[in-house]
Amino acid sequence: MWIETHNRFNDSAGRGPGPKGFRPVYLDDGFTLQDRFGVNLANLKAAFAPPADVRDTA
Amino acid sequence: MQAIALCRFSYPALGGFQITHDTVQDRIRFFYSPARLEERFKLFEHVALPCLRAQTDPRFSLIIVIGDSLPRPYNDRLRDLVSYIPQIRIESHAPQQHRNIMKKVLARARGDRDTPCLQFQFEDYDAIGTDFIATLRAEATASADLTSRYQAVAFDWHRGIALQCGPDGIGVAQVHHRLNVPALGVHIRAGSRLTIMNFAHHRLDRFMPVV
Repeated sequence: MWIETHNRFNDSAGRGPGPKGFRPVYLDDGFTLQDRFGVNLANLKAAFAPPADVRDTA
Repeated sequence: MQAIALCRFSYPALGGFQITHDTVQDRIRFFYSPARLEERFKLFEHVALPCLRAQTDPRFSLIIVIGDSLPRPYNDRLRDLVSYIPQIRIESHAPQQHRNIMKKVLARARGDRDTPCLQFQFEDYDAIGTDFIATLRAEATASADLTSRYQAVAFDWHRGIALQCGPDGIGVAQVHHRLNVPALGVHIRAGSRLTIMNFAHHRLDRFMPVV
């Protein structure tokens, strides 16, 4: 089992936009990557969250 | 049995990259643009590193290859991030032909060619299961009859999760790919000079058995 990310700059992998079927993850829906991969979704989400001043004006 | 992983962290190699650039300088400018590196660092810190720290089998080494022109602040940031994972070593190199330099790095890391070893590529923006090293080692050991007959045997796990992170949140999808870089390892027989970088990952099955 593995994770491959599909972000803007995954250029070396030539992945481009992700496959069809992406569904959003809500942190309270029980989905976790912690046990299987050690990945903390809350930390990951926070890392990609827009800066606070952008959120405030949205 | 040694397990060696190789990670190219925005190393501006000659070749080996899906987007072509006219000159090395063009590639370096593209690789080291702040927006690109910022995204790569986020994925490295929050996706790639946690799975390494959580490996149930700590008997592995990971060499991260960087360019010798990686700007100092990013170089320092990278070294800070990996400092708590003793299995990781950073090597800095001038731009060189992609496969040649990667093969040399792996050969040096292997040291003793008279013993078999496991090798895999590790992308700085992907993750492997926390039991990947343990499972790769176990399956390679259990396949001794096969690995004794071939210079190289690949072990491939097809199932994965695609993850997209952005300001709107995180998206996931289950995916299934053969010979994808994450969770694809190769057993190299004792005495063989081969490395996983002798082959394009998606063509490994043309040259060796794949389990």
